[in-house]
Amino acid sequence: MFITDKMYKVNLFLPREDVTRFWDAVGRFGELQPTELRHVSRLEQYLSFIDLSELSAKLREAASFLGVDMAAPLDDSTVIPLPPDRLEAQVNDIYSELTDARARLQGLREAQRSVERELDKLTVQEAHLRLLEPLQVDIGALLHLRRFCVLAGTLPEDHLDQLDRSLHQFLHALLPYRSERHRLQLLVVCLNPDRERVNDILESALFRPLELPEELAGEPQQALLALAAKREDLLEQKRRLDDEFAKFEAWRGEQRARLSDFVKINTTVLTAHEQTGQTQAVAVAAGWVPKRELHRLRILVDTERNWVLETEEMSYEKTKDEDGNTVPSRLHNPALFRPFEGLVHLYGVPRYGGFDPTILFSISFVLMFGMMFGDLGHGFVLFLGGAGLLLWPRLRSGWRRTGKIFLMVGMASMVFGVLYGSFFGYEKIIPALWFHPINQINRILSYSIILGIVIIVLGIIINMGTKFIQRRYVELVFERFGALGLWFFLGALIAVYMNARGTSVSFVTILILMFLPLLLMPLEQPLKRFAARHKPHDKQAADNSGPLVTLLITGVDIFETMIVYLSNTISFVRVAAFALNHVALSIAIFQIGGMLRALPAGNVFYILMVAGGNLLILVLEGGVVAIQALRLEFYEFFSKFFEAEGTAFVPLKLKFKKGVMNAQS
Amino acid sequence: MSAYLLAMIRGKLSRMVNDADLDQLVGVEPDVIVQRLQTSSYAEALGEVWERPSDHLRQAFLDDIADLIHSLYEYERALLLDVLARYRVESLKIVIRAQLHRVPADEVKKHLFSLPWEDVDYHRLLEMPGLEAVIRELPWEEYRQRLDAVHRQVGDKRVAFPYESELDAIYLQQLIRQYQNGPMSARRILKYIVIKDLFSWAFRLKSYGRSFPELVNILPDFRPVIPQDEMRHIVEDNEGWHGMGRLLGTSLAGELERMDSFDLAALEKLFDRRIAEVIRESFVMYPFGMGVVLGYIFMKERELSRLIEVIERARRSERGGADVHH
Repeated sequence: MFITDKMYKVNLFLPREDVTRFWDAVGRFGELQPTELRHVSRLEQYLSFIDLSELSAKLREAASFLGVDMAAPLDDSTVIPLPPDRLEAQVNDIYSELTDARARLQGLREAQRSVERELDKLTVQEAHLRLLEPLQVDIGALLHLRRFCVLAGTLPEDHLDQLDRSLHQFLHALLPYRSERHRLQLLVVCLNPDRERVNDILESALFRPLELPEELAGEPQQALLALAAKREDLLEQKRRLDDEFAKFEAWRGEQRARLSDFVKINTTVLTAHEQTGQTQAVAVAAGWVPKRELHRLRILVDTERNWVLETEEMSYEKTKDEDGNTVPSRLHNPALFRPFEGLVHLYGVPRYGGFDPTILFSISFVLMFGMMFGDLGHGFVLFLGGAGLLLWPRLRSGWRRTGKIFLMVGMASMVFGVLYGSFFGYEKIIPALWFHPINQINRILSYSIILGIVIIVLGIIINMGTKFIQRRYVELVFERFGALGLWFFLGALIAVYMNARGTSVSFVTILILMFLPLLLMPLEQPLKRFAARHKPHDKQAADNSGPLVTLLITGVDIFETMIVYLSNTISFVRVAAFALNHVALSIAIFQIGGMLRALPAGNVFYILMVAGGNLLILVLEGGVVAIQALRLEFYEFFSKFFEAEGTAFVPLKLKFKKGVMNAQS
Repeated sequence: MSAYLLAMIRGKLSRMVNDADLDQLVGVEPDVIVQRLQTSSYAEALGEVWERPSDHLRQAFLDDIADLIHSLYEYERALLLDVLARYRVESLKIVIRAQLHRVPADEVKKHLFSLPWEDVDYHRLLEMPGLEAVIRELPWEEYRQRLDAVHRQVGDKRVAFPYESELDAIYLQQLIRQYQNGPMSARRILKYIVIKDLFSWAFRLKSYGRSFPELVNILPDFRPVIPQDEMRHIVEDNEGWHGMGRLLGTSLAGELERMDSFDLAALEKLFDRRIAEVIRESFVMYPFGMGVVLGYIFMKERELSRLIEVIERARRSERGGADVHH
């Protein structure tokens, strides 16, 4: 529970033809993390590996096209993966079917785009044609005269005079007929032979020709009617395409339902299959299994006569196996604390054999949050939020975990709210079972410092315990957060306490309580070097620094140790600060509300202010308090013992829907 | 115009680096240039002058001119701001180019000038999502309308030329308007500034293959300063540029005649000299008029461009020397 699970390295030997069935069984077993044998140099000459990347890529492509949610559990527990040779034939069939479907979809999309483009063009043409509405002439005939060229368009108002001047050497007429938003709508008439040059000149005058349909005929009103008919045609085409799309999506949905489990199970198994080494007759698979699940694996393997299991227990001293693979760390916590594992992982994964702080983290986090954000009303809102997330149907598991955390911090907040006598910032509605922090500032400050001392001491003890399990005895004693560190910290606390009580503390006592452990700490490196003499390969322990440098480093280290302990302890003052901050913010809101009350309809403003202020406290202060609690955990607690060098245990797991699994079991 | 302002300009004129001094600075060590500039209005910018000298000196120049604006009466201030709109136009061109070519704002910001007399944040314009948003955000109605018209014409094409020419046209249009309605002391100076810019622009457009009728649409309405037929003759006809003699005055017309072929750079220099002549005349004829302010700005711009040239040359030779040494 407190130490990462003991792991076993397992090697499995089985007939080649059983590989797919084996990984299917392992997936259903769900507690084995496969390891890559491909890069193990000592096995290179004995084992061969099948390249299944193309097949795997095709499956993933199919999943992507069909919109299969690969993280979702499988619906049908009876579905089984296929061996690669049989799978290839099926996947190829599916792939070619999907390729056709993709082409069909592309065709539909292109047709849709084309219709949309046509509709856009039509909209522009209609808009431009409406600009010609005031002209009651046959526009088609006008724009296609034999000798004259008539151009319809718009022009910035103040360019008309310049345009007229610039066209003076050409026979021309400018016929403006309407002005709208600083632009003139006009017809430009010139001779057909001059058309090209006139066009250049018009362009330089920022003349913008109207986009009109080629087959334009009759008066603008008639042309508009023709365009409206064309629009109807296009809309009809669009409707037909929408129907086709709907049919296609329905087909895709059917295919997704049909192939979803097939794709998921085969993709998962193929990934493991690729890591399996093979000889002519035998396949070799390797992986990690937690000790507590090993017997289940044995039972699974024993059911098959030809499957052979070889196991090797990994001691907590080692973090890597002989092939250089990092032993994964598996956390095993009671369900109540499991939602907090995600927050612990934000800091890192503990190394194999390291301390798993999830339970202590959960308790101290909830406690600190409650102390900093103690309010019955606000806590109840958080509790309700958490309950909402838990009960909301179809939410992903991540949201449910968040809901559980909300539930717990909400409860802690409520408990401290009752202890502090605070309800939505009101300090007088419910009596304080303990005390009001704002009335006894020194008291809340003292409690937060005591909490800090407890957490720091706990961190040091955990560090010592972990080092003991890992047989790192020198570090256990001499490290800054080892036995000597604890001696110094407790000694300093005793000295401070005695001083505060008025008891005179002699120099020798201070020397023994505080400075002796500090002076002994620098022995860590020489002792490590001494130990390394017996390990000729341990070059890391070698240190060629001169005595002066060593002395300097030692001095700095001693000073740093004192500072670190002092700052770590003082850091917990923030727990009290935020508890006071909560009250102070509430007082500020009530005071502003009180001022608003004096205004006309003041009661309404008062209610709005108090409601808005409480919401602000809940969101802003709640968020800040969570961050601060997390910060205290990470920097003041985890930093004492947490070696985040591990990798998470990720077993091969075929997840089935709950009902399906129950039915199966 | 206030006597205080005139005194200020006289003082500023006395601190200017004259042509003779500038000639002496050509080819000297950078330290000597810095020493000489200590008594000029660029003293404060000297610390940074060796990194992007043109930008820093121009900014120092703009800050120097900003002092004048607040001491002017309202109509005088409007005239001066129209003349200084050239810098607004330059900044807008930079913003437009950056927007069209999607250049990261940070790369462009250093090239934008801060115009102390304008309350426009060009840096913010750079960060706006697209040119349409920039145009919508401009605080000047005329700029907004006319650039919007260009934008409608250009659409999604990433060409800066139509926007830039419209901005230049707005700027010159304002100067022409000031020429028509402004005080006598400033009119002649404005006329020659406009003519110089008009011809430079027209000949450049012609070299890009634009016909004269197209120029009529691109350039502002130039008829208040030069008749359309005369303009067409000068720009359109192959030897028409000789016709500019009438505009340059007797002495400079002779120099124009002696030119073997058309040379735009030489022509611009002739116009600069003509403007300097007109300014000198204006200082005598209207010693208390706006011409003094415009004249000061013109001379200051010339000083600035020559100074940048000298400093750039000194930097290049220093760098070259260092390379040789190494």
